[in-house]
Amino acid sequence: MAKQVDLDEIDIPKVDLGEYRFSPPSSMGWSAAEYEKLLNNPEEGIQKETFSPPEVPQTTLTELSLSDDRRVSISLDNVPKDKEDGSLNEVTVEPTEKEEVHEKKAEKSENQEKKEPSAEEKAPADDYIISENPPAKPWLAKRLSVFTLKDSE
Amino acid sequence: MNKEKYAESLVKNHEDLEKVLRYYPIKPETIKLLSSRSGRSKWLIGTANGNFFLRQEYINPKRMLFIAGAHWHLQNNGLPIAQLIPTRSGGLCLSGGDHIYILYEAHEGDPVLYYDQSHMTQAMAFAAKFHLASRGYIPVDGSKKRTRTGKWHKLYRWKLQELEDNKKLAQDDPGDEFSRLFLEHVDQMLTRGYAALNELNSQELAEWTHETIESGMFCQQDFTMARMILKNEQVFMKDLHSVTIDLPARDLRILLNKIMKKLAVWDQDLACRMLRAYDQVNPLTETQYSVLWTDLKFPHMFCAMAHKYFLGQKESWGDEKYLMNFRNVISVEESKQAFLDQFDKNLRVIKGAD
Repeated sequence: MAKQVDLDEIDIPKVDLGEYRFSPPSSMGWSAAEYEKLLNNPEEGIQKETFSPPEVPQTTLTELSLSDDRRVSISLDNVPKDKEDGSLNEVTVEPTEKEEVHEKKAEKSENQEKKEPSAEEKAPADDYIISENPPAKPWLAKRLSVFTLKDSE
Repeated sequence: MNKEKYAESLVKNHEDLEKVLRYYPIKPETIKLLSSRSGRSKWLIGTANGNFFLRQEYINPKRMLFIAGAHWHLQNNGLPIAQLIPTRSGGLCLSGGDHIYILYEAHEGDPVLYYDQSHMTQAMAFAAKFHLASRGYIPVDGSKKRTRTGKWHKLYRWKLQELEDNKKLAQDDPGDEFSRLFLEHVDQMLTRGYAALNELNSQELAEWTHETIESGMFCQQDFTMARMILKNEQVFMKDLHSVTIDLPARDLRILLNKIMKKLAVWDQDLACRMLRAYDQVNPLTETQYSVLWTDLKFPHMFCAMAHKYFLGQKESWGDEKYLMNFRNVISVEESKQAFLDQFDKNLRVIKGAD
């Protein structure tokens, strides 16, 4: 076997199999016991399985957009403002080494990015109307078709 | 819950949803729940101006902002994808702390079929468009990225270690048919896996990784035809659930493996035709294809099936179903070898030679 790479080079947690006991699933699968329980007491099972619509929590919703200055918080009915979770605005993500490289590139292409229409600019003021057709060919945006790695350096 | 109580809860549910929809520039007329499972619910919102999907998902909002930003980026770059609808104030999604809402156009079309070769070549061309359109994405500060570039070594090691552990479990139960079949093939798969792991030390991978990070490119992560439709004779993405920063090779490997698993054998001609369709839109270099070959060499499907079995991931599957799927995976992995052995010949076909 071509085990040429030292496995200790990268830290991967080891699983202790000493305590683990495996048993095959049998013809009805591992959930068979649960199914048999349901057959013994169908009433209880049916009550438990009754469908209800998914919950729509009554909480303050925060609109997340592409830049800080466009994040707006509006509370829903009966929800006091002080319950608002504004944590996202306070988040600072420390860039990794690789991300820093990317961010340098981002700074360089700042002017180019400014040309891209923002969510706010595109947000329709009134009724949104669906276009029934996908983007017409050529599908690739002009901006991208001339964008190459070389340009971004 | 009796009928009356259910009707009451539905009315309340719609009232709550209308409050959410007030953030958006639409006038909802009808609301219909389409699906709700694994913390993800989807409603069809009918308006006089067309239909929309409202999705509620229990996910870290910072993570969702990364995905929604990617969706916005793709649509601005002209990818045929359902348009994301920003809120009236320009928000790409709404955060409720532990859950989010996202609204996008609801489109209908013909299904994209795995068993239709022309659909599959179109899907590969779409994947190429997706990768091209993803270039230049700069996630907003505070969004939570998912990155797999530069982590291939760790992922391979993890899977190989698990495979070695599963081998021990199988050896403890030689009477079990799945374990017997597993033991018959595991050494061959480990050999292939370690060979692929060694190939990851190549300069080609390092360069492509660097290039991908520089270009801001990302992957779809789990290309599935369930999220695609055919609209005006072209593949159209109706849903985008996740994206990951990774090499395009990952999407190609996942798509090829998925299709070949459905065919129960690795079809060399089809694989070449599909990669050719991709290459015509987004040409890859010979060294990039060699990275794809490495990823195809790694026994991802074999590892995944053993993982499911020995960790009891599919509780409702009986032993027959496990065996049927496992035999299928072994057949695909083994028949793939001939394809892997003919890199030069297959590359010529991908690049246009007859």
